[in-house]
This record gives sequence, structure tokens and C-alpha cells, in this order.
Amino acid sequence: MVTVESTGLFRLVFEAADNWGLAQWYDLVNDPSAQTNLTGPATA
Amino acid sequence: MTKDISTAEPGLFQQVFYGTKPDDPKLYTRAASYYFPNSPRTFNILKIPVHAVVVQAISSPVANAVGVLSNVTADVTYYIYPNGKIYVHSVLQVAAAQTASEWRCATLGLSDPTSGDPYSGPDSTGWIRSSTTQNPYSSVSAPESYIFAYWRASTTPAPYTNFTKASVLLVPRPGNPNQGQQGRHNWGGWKRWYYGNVSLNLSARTEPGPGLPDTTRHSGEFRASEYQQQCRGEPHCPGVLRRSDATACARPRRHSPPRAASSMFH
Repeated sequence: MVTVESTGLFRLVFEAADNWGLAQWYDLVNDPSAQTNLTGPATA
Repeated sequence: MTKDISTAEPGLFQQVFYGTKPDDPKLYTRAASYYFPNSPRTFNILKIPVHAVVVQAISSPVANAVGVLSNVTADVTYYIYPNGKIYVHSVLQVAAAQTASEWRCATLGLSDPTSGDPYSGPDSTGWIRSSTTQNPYSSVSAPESYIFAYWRASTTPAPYTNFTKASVLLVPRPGNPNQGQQGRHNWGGWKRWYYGNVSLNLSARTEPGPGLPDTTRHSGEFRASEYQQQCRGEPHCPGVLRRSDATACARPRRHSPPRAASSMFH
């Protein structure tokens, strides 16, 4: 996994397991402990 | 409904292909590691300049346990700015001739516990998918210049009323020949908001794509497309969506907030 974070604003995580997709997005403004992945896990 | 994590399809930026063999592969899916761990995939950190992180993901679409559309390679570069703007440059390449009845070329995937399955009406809870001219979006026959989504707490029942306060905006670059037409798609717990309805008919060629070394990427015809995403911790909604947000999609911006991007990377 590769994480890109703007402190206090957002965290993005790219995951090799997902073919290097942008698999995690956290809104650190309202979710500072990054509890809610707003773009996953997306299962059918 | 089966919640099969092996075929999960998370992706804040996603691409899907229809009418291919295998059919319905997703560029980003957990099936890649579960069923095709040896399918080539690469992630490159291209640059960490002062104002943006630049990363590149190269991989081929995967259709669950069925197969890999290895003839197609997507090369997606993200310019990530500290203020939440993400410039996306996507190049699709094929080794041999390739057709697809539909290419969903830019898809936002949003987790939404209030989402029904199926659900075809305009959104009334959770993520409210909206566009240039409609909020919430119902149907527009012409391509919209931007799409966005925000969480509407006022009409979302507990316990998900305050699931998030974030919003996301997707703006195709003006003149993008592969913009396509906006569309919605739902599962239980999940919403997609995308540009699609683009057919592909790519021919094989022997010359490499621009900027790619011919020793590694002896590629066929390519399709490039460009987008800007804006992710932020406040709603995009009427009166709040800034005109500049939707019109600023172009090349990566030279002017950014004075925060060093080197501190963003972990």
C-alpha cells in the first residue's frame, strides 16, 4: 500500500491488492481518526 | 446478497469495460490479487515536488475470477495537491486490435450504507449525486461538464445521518474526446457516479505511445483522457460549489497552497 496524506485534510491509499487502485479515501477534516473509508470496500 | 471480498471493486477513480473478452473487467479490483497475482501491475512514484505528489499506476483490467483483459493496459497518473485537488491523466493502450461496446472511462465509487439495490431514482439519502444542471441528478441527455456528490445529512436517517460531511467533484478536461456521458449505478451499500457510454475501437499499431520507451511498451493505439477530482471535507451543493472548482480542470496547476508535498507521502 502507498499512502498520500494531506495532514488534517485527507488521506488516500493506493493498494497493490486492488491492481494499484485508489482504494481508500478518508476525510480527515471530519474523521480525523480515519474510521470511514469513503470509497470502499465495494462488494457486490 | 453475497459480499465477496475477493471481488471487491473499490476505487475513487475506476474504469470498466463492457463487450470485451473477458466481459465486464474492472481496472481496479481485489480479484487482481486473489485470482491473478502474477498479472503485471506497477506503481511508480514519479515525483514529489514542492506542491504535489505525482504517482502512476499501470495495470490491466480484471474480470473477477474469469480472466484478465491483458490486451489492454491503463496507465493512470495522479497529480495530488494538498488542498484535495487531484489531476488525473489516463492513457489506455492496446497491444492488438480491441473493441468494447462501452468504456466507463471515469467512475467515482462511493461507500453508502443507505444505497438500495437496485435503485434508479434520484438520490434522496446518503450521497446525493448531482451534475452541472441537476441536483439531485435524474437524467440529462447531453453530457454534463461536471458531476459531483455530497452527503446530505438532512434527509439521511440514523444511524448514517452523519456518516460523512465530505464531497467529491469530477470534471473532465474541456475538449476531452473521451468524456462520454454521465450515468449512475448502484449496489446495496455502494454508489457509482461516472462518465461512460464511450465505445472503443482501437487498432493495433507497431509504434509506441507517446513518451513511452518502445523497448517496454510496444503498444497499439492509445486513448488519453484527463480529469480533475476535488475531494474535500465540506459539501459541494448549490451555492457552495464554487465556479472555479468546476472550471479549473486543465493541466496540473503551478500555483498551489504553500504546503510542502514532501510531507504528504508515507
